[in-house]
Amino acid sequence: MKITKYLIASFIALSITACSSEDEEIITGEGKVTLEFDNSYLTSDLLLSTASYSANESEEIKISDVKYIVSNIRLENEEGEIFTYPKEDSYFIVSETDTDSQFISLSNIPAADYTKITFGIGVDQEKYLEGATGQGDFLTLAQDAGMMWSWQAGYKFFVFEGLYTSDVTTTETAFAFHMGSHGSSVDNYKEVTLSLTNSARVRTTSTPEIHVVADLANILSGTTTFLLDDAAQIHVDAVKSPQIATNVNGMFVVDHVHN
Amino acid sequence: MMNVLQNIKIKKSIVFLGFVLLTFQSFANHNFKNCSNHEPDSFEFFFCDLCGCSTSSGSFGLGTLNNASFVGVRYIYQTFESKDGIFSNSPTSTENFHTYQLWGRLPINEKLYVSAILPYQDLKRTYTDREENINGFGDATIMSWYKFKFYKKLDEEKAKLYTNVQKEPSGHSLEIGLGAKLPTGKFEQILADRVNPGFQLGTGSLDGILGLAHSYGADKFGVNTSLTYYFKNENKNEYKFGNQFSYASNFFYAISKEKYMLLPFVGLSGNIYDKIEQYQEEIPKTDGNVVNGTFGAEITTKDFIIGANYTLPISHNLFGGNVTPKQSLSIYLNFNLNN
Repeated sequence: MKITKYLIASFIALSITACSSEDEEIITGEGKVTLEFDNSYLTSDLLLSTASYSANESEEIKISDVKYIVSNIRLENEEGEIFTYPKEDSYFIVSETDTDSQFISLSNIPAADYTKITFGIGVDQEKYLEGATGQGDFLTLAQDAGMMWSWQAGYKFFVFEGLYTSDVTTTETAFAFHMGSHGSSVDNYKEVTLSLTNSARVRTTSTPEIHVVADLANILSGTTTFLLDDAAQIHVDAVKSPQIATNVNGMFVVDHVHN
Repeated sequence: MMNVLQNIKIKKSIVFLGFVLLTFQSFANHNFKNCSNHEPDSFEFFFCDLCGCSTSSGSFGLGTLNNASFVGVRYIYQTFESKDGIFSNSPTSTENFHTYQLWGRLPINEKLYVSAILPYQDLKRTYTDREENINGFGDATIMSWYKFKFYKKLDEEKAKLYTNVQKEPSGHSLEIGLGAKLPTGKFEQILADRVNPGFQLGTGSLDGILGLAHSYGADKFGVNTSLTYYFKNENKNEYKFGNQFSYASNFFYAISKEKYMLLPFVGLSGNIYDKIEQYQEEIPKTDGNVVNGTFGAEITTKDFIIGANYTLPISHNLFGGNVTPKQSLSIYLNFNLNN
């Protein structure tokens, strides 16, 4: 029996000593980050056209199109240091109908543990005032995606379209919210800063994925409540556009981060 | 007589050695060398560990809480339904976990015994459009148990009349166990990113186990209760399963026949999990608890114990409600080494 005891003792001892602690890692180099934009309606994954969602009062909506411009991405690490993604490469169009567009891949990110992300919805005045040539390829991309009224009127930052019914409007009726800055007269560009649920650890060998959920229910029922029976079409509106911009900003949340 | 005794000892030693060797073998298969950083992680009580076995708990069997030494095999089947995505309308996947265990128990002396379990896992997950399967050794568990026996108070009148009055057992016994779960099962980071983090062969960590078991046996019935705490450690991916508290209590009734004893039982068990951590940060929606109801029966003969039980969750909230435990089934066959 003694042999058995020794065997057990040595077995346990060996298992414990097999693992010794690791030295503090030195973080250098650059890596990548993937930013995923996942649209939802409340807790449900957003389904275009097929699903009917309850909005305010008796209004029922079917959403047929959701698009927005994501821009000026910045990452903040645990020391509070901010990395700004190169501005000329920091404009993206996220479209619900184009899965690829929902994954934004950022490269040459300094390796660090990032805890916060900031991005803008739309195009800032600084960029807009660079003129048509200053927009680079993004101008064409926005035009092709229907994210511009005209050069003078500017970019559409957010497009939200579909059909709705209500007690008053019994036949399916189109609605469309197009929000953007109005030339340089009304600036609706807004930024949102989100804390990450757990840190995004960018390394030369590891690409974290920040999974952002955008809850479209917030558009009609956010800081401002919109009744489609009051106004089903909102395009250029000095009062309502800024309110929509605020609702859009409030719809983003970081669900999780994969390292 | 001496020969017979020695034979028994040899037999026991061979069985135990076999266990140890098998465990080492599986260590070797699962890149033991990579374990140069931190490793340890999680475990479970008598026989279930979070990986591939996250929500069941149990004991070594009712008839085996005496000082018997045995070696046996057990099969556990469990099913879960997990969300394949983060939304309420995300599709679900069905998980079927098959666990085959080699287990045994060996007394070292009157009060002390050692138990060991080596599992083999075969885990399957069916999505709406694809399937996933992993198999291999799971995490081996080794524990040592110290047993306290309780006796009735001596009858003082009797003690005066007779010289050799034996202490009468009270029927209660208490065991304290201390052990480790070894990282013999493979841990894959990619699987940890899915909704059910329990879909792993092993935790990849060396974990500590503290167990407390009480049993009471009267003539016709008995109650076994066990409490276990798993101190989970970080593995080499800096991933740390949440500490786990398991409890189980079974009430059994004994029906004695000439050649065997039948023990039907009912019981309650449960697990409470802390949040999983990675890189020293808690991961949201990774804690939970589950309460199970169990019924089953065991047949004990001179040479073997055969048992089966069926477990159904009564209430649960696992991983933010995204994992739903379904029924599980366990059957086992133990050979008595005392004869």
